[in-house]
Amino acid sequence: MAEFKDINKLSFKDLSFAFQGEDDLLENINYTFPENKSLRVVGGTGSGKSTLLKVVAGLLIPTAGDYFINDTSVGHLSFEEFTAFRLRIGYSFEFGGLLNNKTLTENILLPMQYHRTFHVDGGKKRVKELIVRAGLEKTENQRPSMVPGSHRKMTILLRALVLRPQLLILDEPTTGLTSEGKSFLLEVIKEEKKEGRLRHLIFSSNDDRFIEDLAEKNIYLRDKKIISAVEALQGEAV
Amino acid sequence: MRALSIISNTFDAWGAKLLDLLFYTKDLILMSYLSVRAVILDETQGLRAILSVVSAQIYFTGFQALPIISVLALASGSIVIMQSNLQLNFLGGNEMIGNLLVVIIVREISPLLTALVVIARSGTAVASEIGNMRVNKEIEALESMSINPLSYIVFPRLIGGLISVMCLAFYFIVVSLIGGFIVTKLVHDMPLAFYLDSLAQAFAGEDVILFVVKNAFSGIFIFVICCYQGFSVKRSPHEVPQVTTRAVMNSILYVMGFNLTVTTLFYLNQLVKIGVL
Repeated sequence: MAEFKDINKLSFKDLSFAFQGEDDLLENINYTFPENKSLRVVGGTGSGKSTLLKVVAGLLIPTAGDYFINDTSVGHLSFEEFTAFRLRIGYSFEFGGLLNNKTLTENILLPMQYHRTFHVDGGKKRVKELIVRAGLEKTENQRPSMVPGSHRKMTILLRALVLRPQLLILDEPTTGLTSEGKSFLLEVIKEEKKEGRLRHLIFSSNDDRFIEDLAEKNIYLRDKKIISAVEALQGEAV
Repeated sequence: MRALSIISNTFDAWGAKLLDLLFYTKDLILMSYLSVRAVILDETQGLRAILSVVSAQIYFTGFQALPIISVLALASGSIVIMQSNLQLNFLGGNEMIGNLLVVIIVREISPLLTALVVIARSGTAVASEIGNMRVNKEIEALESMSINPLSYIVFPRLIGGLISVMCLAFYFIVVSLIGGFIVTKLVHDMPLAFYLDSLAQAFAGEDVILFVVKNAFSGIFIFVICCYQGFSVKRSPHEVPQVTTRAVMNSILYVMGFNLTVTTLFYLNQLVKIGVL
């Protein structure tokens, strides 16, 4: 059985990314992500925030350069080899991403049921606990198309959190959430950080409370590159 | 000179189409191979999740198709038995009825009609389901959970499709031969013992080989084509009906082409055996 690999260091080396037949969205980026920090990705519409987050999650493979987790180049790993890292990564989509033929509970449980590395019975207990705390008890056995958008969003977030990831990537996590939902999400993330399981949090958000409570550092994206805070401030002044 | 250019252009176009067909077939074979490989190589994957998808696929493709297959089998069986009986009565060769039924129903009609029903019912469903999954980012979501879409989506559909098509084709034969006889019995008196004896004498080992080859091909290729087309959706929902139509057209072409090729080879082999060729 494949062993999990801890996620310590994340870095980009000359990394570029473009969708097939399109211009580069990220271009020649060199960046080492600070360890044990919560990072917020900042950038305008179409600046490549979601793309950057997907590259960090390993969902998109760089078209040039390398993305290293520890000292392993992700682009050179097969799907099976990357599983050892990927099961330590939680990723939440801004929109979509729930399996429409499964109930909310089944969606959250899916990674535990699929990978025999996890104990499904223990997983069910944790999922039930999260569902109750998130206020999804009434809709937990319904399919995504039958429930309110805030419940769908919460389900995606719970699925990203259920395996207790070391690297958590959230693309606009508060979009469509109720204020209770936001409070719950902040609470769970803080718990995971406090207990030392969550080592890296990378997110994009414009929610003031979320930024204030979680963002320890900002990453600025402009002109397909990561720029410094000083450069970003100069840009705003101009 | 102009005629030469037209001929050359025509050959170029045919060549390009043939190349496209070869590359497409290569992609289909590669997808089937990679899906099997993904199941074997992924050590963390539990088989329970995959088996639940296989059983769902068999339920939708196999079990739920039984009513329509029953109707088709009964109708085609009755028609072929009645017509054969009538023609053989004129010619005075009634004992040949078994041979005619085996040739027409077992070797030809059963694999073709079963494949067409499966394409119409399940092929379209698979192509549009996967296409919609692409649009709704469900495929990306599976990858984010380290669930390989090839082993979770493609492999169970290939296995479920293969089992379903084989079972449906067998069911078609049984219903058309037995049910067809019962329907015929209402309009024409034919002794059961005579009918069964004629059938028993007509069946040969080659029929089993033809049954397996034709239906296994249909089972695998219908579903790999539909999965492939579903995965070809990029981002927009408007692509879904387009890929579904393409999946149906390609599935029909591949199934018909393969059935025709196998029958032709079988026919030529028979001619060689009896010394005509």
